[in-house]
Amino acid sequence: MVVMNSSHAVEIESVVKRFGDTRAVYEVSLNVDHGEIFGLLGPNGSGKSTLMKLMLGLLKPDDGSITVDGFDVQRNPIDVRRIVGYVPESPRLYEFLTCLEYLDFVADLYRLTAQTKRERITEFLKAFELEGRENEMLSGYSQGMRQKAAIIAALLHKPKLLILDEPLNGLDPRSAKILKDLIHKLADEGVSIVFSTHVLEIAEAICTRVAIMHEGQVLAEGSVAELRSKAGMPGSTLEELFLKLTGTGDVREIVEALLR
Amino acid sequence: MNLQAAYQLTKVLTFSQLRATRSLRGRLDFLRRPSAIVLIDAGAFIVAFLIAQRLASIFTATILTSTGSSFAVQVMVDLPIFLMFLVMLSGLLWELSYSFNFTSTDMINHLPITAAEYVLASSASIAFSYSIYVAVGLGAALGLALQFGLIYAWIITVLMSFVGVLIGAFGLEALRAFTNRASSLLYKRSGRAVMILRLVVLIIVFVSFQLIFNPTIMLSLLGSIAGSVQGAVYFPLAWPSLAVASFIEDNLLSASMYAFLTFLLCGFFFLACARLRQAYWMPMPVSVKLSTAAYAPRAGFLSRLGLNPAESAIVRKDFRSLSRRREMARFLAIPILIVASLLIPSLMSRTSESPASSVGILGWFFPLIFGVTIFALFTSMISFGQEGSAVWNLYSSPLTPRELVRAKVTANIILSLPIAIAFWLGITLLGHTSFKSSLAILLVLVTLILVESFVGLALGVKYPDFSETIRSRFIRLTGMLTGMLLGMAVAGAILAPYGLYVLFKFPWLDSNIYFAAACSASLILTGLISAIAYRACVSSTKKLLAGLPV
Repeated sequence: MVVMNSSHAVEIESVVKRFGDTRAVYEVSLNVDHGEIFGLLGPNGSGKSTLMKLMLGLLKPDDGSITVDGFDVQRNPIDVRRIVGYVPESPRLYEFLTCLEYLDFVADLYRLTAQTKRERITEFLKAFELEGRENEMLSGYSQGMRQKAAIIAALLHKPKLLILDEPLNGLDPRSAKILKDLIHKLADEGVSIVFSTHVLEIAEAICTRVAIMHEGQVLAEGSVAELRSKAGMPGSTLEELFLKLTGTGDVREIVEALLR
Repeated sequence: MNLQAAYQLTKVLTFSQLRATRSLRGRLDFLRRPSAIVLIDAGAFIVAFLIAQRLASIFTATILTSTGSSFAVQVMVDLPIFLMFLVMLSGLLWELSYSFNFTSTDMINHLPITAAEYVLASSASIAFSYSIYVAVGLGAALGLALQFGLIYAWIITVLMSFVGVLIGAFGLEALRAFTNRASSLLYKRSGRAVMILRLVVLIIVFVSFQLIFNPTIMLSLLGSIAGSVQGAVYFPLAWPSLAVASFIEDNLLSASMYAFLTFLLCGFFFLACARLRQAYWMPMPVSVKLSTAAYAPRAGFLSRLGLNPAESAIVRKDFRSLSRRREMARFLAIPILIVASLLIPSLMSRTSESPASSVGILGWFFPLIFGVTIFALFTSMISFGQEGSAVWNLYSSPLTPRELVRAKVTANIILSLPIAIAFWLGITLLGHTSFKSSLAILLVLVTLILVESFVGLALGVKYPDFSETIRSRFIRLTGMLTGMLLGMAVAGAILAPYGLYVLFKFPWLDSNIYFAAACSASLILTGLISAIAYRACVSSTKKLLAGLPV
């Protein structure tokens, strides 16, 4: 089981991030509990990926603060990175390394022992069906295979918090199922998971809570049932809720115009 | 051929170069436009013109006009071939980093663009990227031409220089095609030996091309074959210069013939490049299986050097990067190239009375020192930028700035040391050096590697270019220029105590003590500069790691 150092796995307080004139994240406050699967939903460019990078200290907020397991991300970035596993959207890997060399490299960055490295790498390669291809250079891997390699790399050091940006991108159904089951299992062990997705059915199926983001702000946050009740749409799907909250509901006119 | 398509593609390639770097945000955003390049070129042209004219007038007032005039003639004759060489050299260093990431998404794979259109567009954008050389060269030549009444010759020089630059750019495209071929040889083959073979092939291709386009070597070679520089007539790359020379000699028939031949040569290069690109383009990324052995992690010799597992992992990764990425092979070619460029003319100029073995210790020493210095400096300068988009792997891992700096510097030192030792053995054997000289050379080489690695890294981490464009450069232009100047200055400082020892003798001072003092002074300087550069590296790495470049 995961040892916890604070009441929340992630605490985000009034965080603001701008890129020039663009407001990527604005006054966002969120908490993610230990062992929780937290979904970040939102249209393209709504600030989900930026918020995830802020959680890991990859970006510096213009305002506000973030703590991960009690560590201030800005003051203790190394401590935070030690306990976090991260899979970016379209992860860029070192293409000149073989998959095995890449995983070995990441395991060394987290200072895993030789024994742990061997065991975990072998297990994950087998689980994600990369066995037999592990000595091939990543430049020859398909997008899905690269995604698998990045996911394995994020899991190798048994993180307390997993930040997964569109982790199911490019995965085949079997690997997607393995990942979903793994997420549930890790959550049961106390690992917190923050993940973004465009596939609302998946979010609905596996998330304990979700936050819907739009133009850098959190429009709504809670379990899907809570959101339905807040929006006064009992019996609606997450997609209907999402479209209503983000103001992108009626797309019929657009589709008709495209077909003209 | 669709010229409109080629023009649009030229614009796209130019924009990709100008806009990809993330360093010009904000106030310097205007520099991302091609019009800014034209303005800079115009400014450079005017400044070069004014300086040359001023110098020429001072020159004629103080020495014979005929001497000044022959100097002006020499400048105009050499300019086309020199510009051609400069474009090739710059291209070798900065334009051949065609990453695998782009091979499958390149426009040529999915848009209706022919190989000829692509070659034309790519060459034109390369020529435009280095137009500053042309502007400075022609500006200075105009200043001289006006002073010495050579204005018509200058017009021919302009024409031949433009064609020369295009030939250089086409040559670069041919080189790109050959490197593709070297890579595609590996397709679906396995084993680490194949990777080494590819590296060797790439280095040979780079060095051969650069030597072919090197005017000094070619003229020396022709001089040694034909007995005089007139032999240049047999060297097609010298035709642009011969056209200018013939025009100045009032030999209009010969000038027209060489000018015509130059245009023919340019056309031939273009067609050959288009053919090569068509034949050697490989749209699929290389898939190579390196080993079939079972996974068995083990601690290597790096841990015995005092590196922790994370640092060792980075060092190993950087070695693999340098030996497996085709865009990195050019950096391995640098020391060989520099040494060959400097030594070959010197060796070929030897006659029977003055054989090659008499080149002497200094004749061997400077090219080799220069090669090692530039290699250590360059590989260090690019060591951060070469991470490219995969740099997030370092950002998201628990690495301290000190660990990262230690790993990067160690990788560079370990890589440069064998080259330095090979060169040292070469100097010692060929130069028949004494024990004292041999020791001094070894010390110089080792200290230079150390200091250049730190200085290069300090610049590399301050000015990294992580952008993965079609032509990634790994370090921003400011960083590269500053690094080169600083690297040379530092090398000068390290060599200064030895220089003093060689040049000034004091009868009252024991030679051995004097030598020891020179070595000590150089070592102290190395320690001081390295310590300062190390602090700068750590401080810049802290800043760099504070936020992922977006």
